[in-house]
Amino acid sequence: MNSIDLQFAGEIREIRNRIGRSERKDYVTTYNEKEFLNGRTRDERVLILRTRGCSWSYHSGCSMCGFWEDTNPEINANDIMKQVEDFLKDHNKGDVLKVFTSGSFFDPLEVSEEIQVPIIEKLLNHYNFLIVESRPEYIINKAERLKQFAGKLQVAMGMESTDPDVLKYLINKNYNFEDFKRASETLHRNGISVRAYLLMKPPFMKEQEAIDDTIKSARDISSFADFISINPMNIQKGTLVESLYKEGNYRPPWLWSVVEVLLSLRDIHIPVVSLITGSGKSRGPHNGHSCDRIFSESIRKYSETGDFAYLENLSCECREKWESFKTEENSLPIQINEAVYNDF
Amino acid sequence: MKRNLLTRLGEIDNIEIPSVVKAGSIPIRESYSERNKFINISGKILTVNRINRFNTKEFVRTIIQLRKNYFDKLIYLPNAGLIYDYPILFYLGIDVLDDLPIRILGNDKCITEFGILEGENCLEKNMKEKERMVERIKLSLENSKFRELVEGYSMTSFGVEALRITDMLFYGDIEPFLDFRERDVRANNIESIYRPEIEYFRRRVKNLRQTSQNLLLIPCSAIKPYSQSKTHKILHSRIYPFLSGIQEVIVTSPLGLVPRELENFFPVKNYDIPVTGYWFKDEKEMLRNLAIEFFQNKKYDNVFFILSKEESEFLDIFPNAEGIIGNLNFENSEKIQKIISSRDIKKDRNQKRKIEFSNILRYLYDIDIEPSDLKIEDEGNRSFVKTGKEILLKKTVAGVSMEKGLGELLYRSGKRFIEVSGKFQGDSVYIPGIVSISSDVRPGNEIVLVYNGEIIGKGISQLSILDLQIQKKGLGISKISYFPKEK
Repeated sequence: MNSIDLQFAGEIREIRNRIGRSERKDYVTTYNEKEFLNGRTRDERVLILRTRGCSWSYHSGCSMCGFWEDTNPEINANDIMKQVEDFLKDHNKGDVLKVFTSGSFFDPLEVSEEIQVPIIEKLLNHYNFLIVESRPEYIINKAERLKQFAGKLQVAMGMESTDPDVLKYLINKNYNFEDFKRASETLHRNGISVRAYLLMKPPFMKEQEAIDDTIKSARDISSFADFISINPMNIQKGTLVESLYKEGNYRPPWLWSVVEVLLSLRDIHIPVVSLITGSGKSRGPHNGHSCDRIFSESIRKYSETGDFAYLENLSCECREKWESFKTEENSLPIQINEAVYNDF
Repeated sequence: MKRNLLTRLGEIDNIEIPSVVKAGSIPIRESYSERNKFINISGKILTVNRINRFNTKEFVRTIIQLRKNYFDKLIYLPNAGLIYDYPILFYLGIDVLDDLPIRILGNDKCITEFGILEGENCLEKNMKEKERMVERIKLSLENSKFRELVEGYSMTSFGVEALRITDMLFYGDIEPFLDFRERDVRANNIESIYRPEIEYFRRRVKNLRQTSQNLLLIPCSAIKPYSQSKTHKILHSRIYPFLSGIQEVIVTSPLGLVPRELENFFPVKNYDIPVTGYWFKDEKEMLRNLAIEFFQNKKYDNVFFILSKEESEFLDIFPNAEGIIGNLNFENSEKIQKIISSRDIKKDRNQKRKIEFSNILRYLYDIDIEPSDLKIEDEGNRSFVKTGKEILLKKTVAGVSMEKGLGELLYRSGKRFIEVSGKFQGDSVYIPGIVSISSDVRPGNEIVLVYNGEIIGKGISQLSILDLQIQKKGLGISKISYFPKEK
């Protein structure tokens, strides 16, 4: 199956090419978060390394990914090693460390082959558990070498959805569920656990479709992953999604929808969390009501503890609005953005 | 199918246009592979998937381009606009909207002319108001009053912005959709200044020739044509002896400047304005800009005027103009007569008439003939305008009309012709009898009728080449008369 819609990919590339790249060589940022991982609430440190950026983005990239802005095409292996060393100077101890690269840690063009394992080794000297991100195509030939880190390393892959049409026409992911499964099997064979990211509500998707797609994708993927993290859309700069949003053609998902997805997946045998960026803001998932804060807080607490009680007790008068939004939207051929009604 | 600029009234694929349908009743379901495209075409229905809803200029540009490029399709814009946006949305060329925005608005927000107000049972009230508005829109389209309705009901910021942007920036795109069939034009609004028919007039007038060595600027009259009004008759009774040496130009809003020879034609004969004596800044600016262009290559021995203070503000472009600030009445007509008679007025009736006919040929038929190539022959109350032996125009009390010579000239230039599939009885040809139509023809234009490569007659077109794309039946040409066969 051809997994690229050339016209769609071209539009994403055009928007991406308008974005300025960074000239900095230091790591992008670091911050703390909590997550319910391996049966308990864990303190996690996140480190975002600055790299040359995702190789797929040099072609076109994904419709929602705005990490391009943080990348610097001039960065080399030495710069990345220095970033790691600088980071460890300030944060030299912790439980869980997540290392993101605005792309794929195992992409040799992004993080050269010879420094990948040394970086993992170095970081695992200071942290108990390490999570790195990568597209699946870079994993197949690498998993053998990761065997030594069994039980201490998790590889996260952004599957987003298991529906091939969603991946091709709404995200421009350029890989599919089969690629994920292959990478996942290889990693599992070598004792490395797998985390799957699912994107909730890509562009051009209706609210109810977003709920259904995320639930279905989570169920599909649960046999091939050890952990599912649901990312409801937040609108990042320089993306196709941002263009749609600015035109009044995209609305991030309702927090009600996120809650519905999480509650629907409570019977899944692996943890499902959702650490939301921009929760309650217009560029992030929101109900557009004063309940946004309590919803955001509750979803975060649930993701930190795995306790469904935080979600079960949520209520708000805006539920009716959400129900009506879903129903009315379903009657149309396209997705809608309710902000238009007030501003038009 | 009836058309009013970009807006159509009728039915496509059993769907009434224009209409605001119940959300979901347009049977389009799009797969993900279709949704990421800007438009989706399914049979006759074009669904606008993506449009910049927050940038009015982009919005207008997109819809007008779609209307131009897909004239034979029904344009459906899902989820757009509340009740008072409907007029402008349909004006831009959208055929079908849906009621989703009203439904989503819910029961406690009532839509009014002055905004959305908190209220009770609003859904029902809004739906009724929606019905009323759609009926009004249809009625105005039926009666060729849609532009008047759009100007009157453009009450939201979006509506006003979109109308102004359309007029100011997209005239060129609207021009192929113009319609010159005679009808009343009510220029009641500041927005009327740039309505396309008016803008068309100004653009055509700019290039017309100077008809005399002297100029007289006078105000318009409520009665049309102006020369039938009491005030203009009084003026003529005083200055009649000099008229063959004076070009009369009427100063009026929103048309700007009307050379006397155009007073019998659309839209000059058909417009009406509220008379306050006060001119808005926009009107004055329009008048000044037009005057600068109209008079830039014209040189007069004398410039006379009777104009109100507001109308006369552009007169600084004529440093030696002399006349009266005031109304056109008996007293001022006498005064201007005195001024004019004190000057040496070079008269040349024949030359003035030739230039006037040359201007008429340019204005009505877009054909440029040197006045010196024209000859005028009067027969009783009829006049014939000729080049060589060929008769171009006939002027009677009923007006000006094409003769065979002009028909030949137009057909040879590829202009204003409609090819028909036979010579039909009666004075009409219906659309199935039309073979082709030149691209410059607009409804209301007098056209030459062509059959088998020969010109056979003339008539008034009821359509343009765009209309022919979508209309398969109905009246095509009216008021046909066949040219007599050559002996």
